[in-house]
Amino acid sequence: MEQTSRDPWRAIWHIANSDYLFAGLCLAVAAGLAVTVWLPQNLASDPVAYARWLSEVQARFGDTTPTLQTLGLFTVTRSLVFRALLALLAGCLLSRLIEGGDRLRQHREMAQPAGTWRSLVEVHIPDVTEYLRRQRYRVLREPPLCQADRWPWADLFPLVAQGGALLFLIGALVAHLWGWQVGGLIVQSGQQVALPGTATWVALDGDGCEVAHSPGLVTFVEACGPGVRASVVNRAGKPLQLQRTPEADPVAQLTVSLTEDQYFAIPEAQLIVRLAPQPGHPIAAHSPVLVQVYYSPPGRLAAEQVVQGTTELAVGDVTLELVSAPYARLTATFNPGLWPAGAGLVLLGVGVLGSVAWPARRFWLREEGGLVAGTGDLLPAWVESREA
Amino acid sequence: MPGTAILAGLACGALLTTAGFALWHALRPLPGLSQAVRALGWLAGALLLSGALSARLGGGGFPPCVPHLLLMAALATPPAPRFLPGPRRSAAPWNDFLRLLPPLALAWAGLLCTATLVGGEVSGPPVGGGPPAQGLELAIVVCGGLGARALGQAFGEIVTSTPGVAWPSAAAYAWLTVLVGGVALASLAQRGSVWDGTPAETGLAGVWLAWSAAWLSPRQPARLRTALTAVAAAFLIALAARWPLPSA
Repeated sequence: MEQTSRDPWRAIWHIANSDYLFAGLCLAVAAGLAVTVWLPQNLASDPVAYARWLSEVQARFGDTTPTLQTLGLFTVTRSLVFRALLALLAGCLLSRLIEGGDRLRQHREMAQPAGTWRSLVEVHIPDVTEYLRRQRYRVLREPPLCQADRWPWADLFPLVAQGGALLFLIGALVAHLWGWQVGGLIVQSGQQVALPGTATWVALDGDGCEVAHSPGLVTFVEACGPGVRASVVNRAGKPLQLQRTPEADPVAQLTVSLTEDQYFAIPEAQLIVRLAPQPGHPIAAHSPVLVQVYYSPPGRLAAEQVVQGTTELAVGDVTLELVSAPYARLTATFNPGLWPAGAGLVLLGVGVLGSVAWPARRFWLREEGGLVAGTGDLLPAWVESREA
Repeated sequence: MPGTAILAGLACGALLTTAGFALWHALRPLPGLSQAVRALGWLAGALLLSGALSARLGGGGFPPCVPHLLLMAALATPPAPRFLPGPRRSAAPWNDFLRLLPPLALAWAGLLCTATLVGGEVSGPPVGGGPPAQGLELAIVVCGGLGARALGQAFGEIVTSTPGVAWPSAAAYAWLTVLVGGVALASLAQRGSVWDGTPAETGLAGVWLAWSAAWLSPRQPARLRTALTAVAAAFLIALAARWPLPSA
């Protein structure tokens, strides 16, 4: 007995299985997550977003910003400490799963009594055993001990929960190692966009409502708004060239998404066109668009019209043809850990809810010298009568 | 707007009277006093619920925290129905008083918010979002109400040093599990990732983990479990009161 207690591996195993370690790890991860609720996290990947985040943080926290940044409080979930905590939690769950599985395998054997023994009055083990069996308790006897379980199979639920949590963490690890996410992707209707650095693509249908994508991708539409496909012809029906910027190559047809005001020039007709979402209207795929055409020079307004859908607008000798081409701002995710994470979540939920509904209610009775003592989740009537 | 303030004020008065009677019963038990505490508890709960509905549906321009605080208090105030297990006889009077402390604090906080608005100084984030967002908001506030009940129960257990009834904590934890699991699964199906890193989602996950630390470790000392439950419940209430959370 003494030898086994001194075995360092056994001691490590006990620590890994202890409720204190599990609770401590859960609390540490929860504390990390709580910090992210109050402190804005730096999740920006591009310099512009980082600059915006930094200016907001400096305005809010002032001189304490560098200290908080040094402590890593703005990058909690990306920190090595947080990831190490998750790894330790996974290890703890695995050891508990093994231990719990072993215990479940030996479910017909009596468990080691836990808790403080209390003496019980007017309790006779043979009568109690009979009563408990009538109440559908499972009763195991190894004189002088007696163990009663309200729901013998209740030990299964914590195992399911722990297995689910482990599977979820594995899914998250797989997603972190081999998955990726592209956010803020602007796709216009009828357009197919290749995702940078991958062989995958996303496309929006002609109505701007349905997103198609490569197999294995998950896309989420963050926002959608109006867009326009513009072309211009002169009186003779000859297409004129359009230019977004002085450096851009002239094109016969231009597609613009109205994420903000957009301009293009018709150099041959000396006109500038401004396109903007109609103010006062909610932004939607087919919301109205304000079109303003200016002479260049001198910048005088030549025509102004609110358009919706396909429209032709005549300005002097030219006709502007505008076709609705809504855009969608998408996030595309490739997550190879999707199914393990989803299955893990379901198992975790089932296990937790099962252990809430059917907790392992177990108690032990011991008879010594005519006196009966009990420990564990004793029947309330016994505890009440003892207090009375 | 005045209707909400009047209802909240009446509810606070009824709640204070209930707590006073419960304290009296704990110090010097009198026949019939526990029935009075029960009846007053139901009355205060009904008034708080009316106040919450008035604040939410009346369109008085209240910040979301007002209906949230009042609804959480309304859920935590009424005594448990008779078919649910009650506390042990020896601890019941003190339990009756201590379990009223969280709803009392919530109701008074709601009344103060209402009073500040009447003064014309508060402008909270607008109440909005589609039906799914509003459904989630309601579910989280209901969870916060159950959390307030569990917190009151935990106070009782800590002060009287007797194990209390488990159902408020179990109900809050089960409901929280369903919420966190549902949000995570929906996010996984829609976005392909479990959490999008918003403070609301990480906060919910944090509360759930803290509660799990208490719930899934049955071999801990009862006092430690109770303390952990109290901390998790307090965090849940703070989260539900501020929902929908602004970006950090």
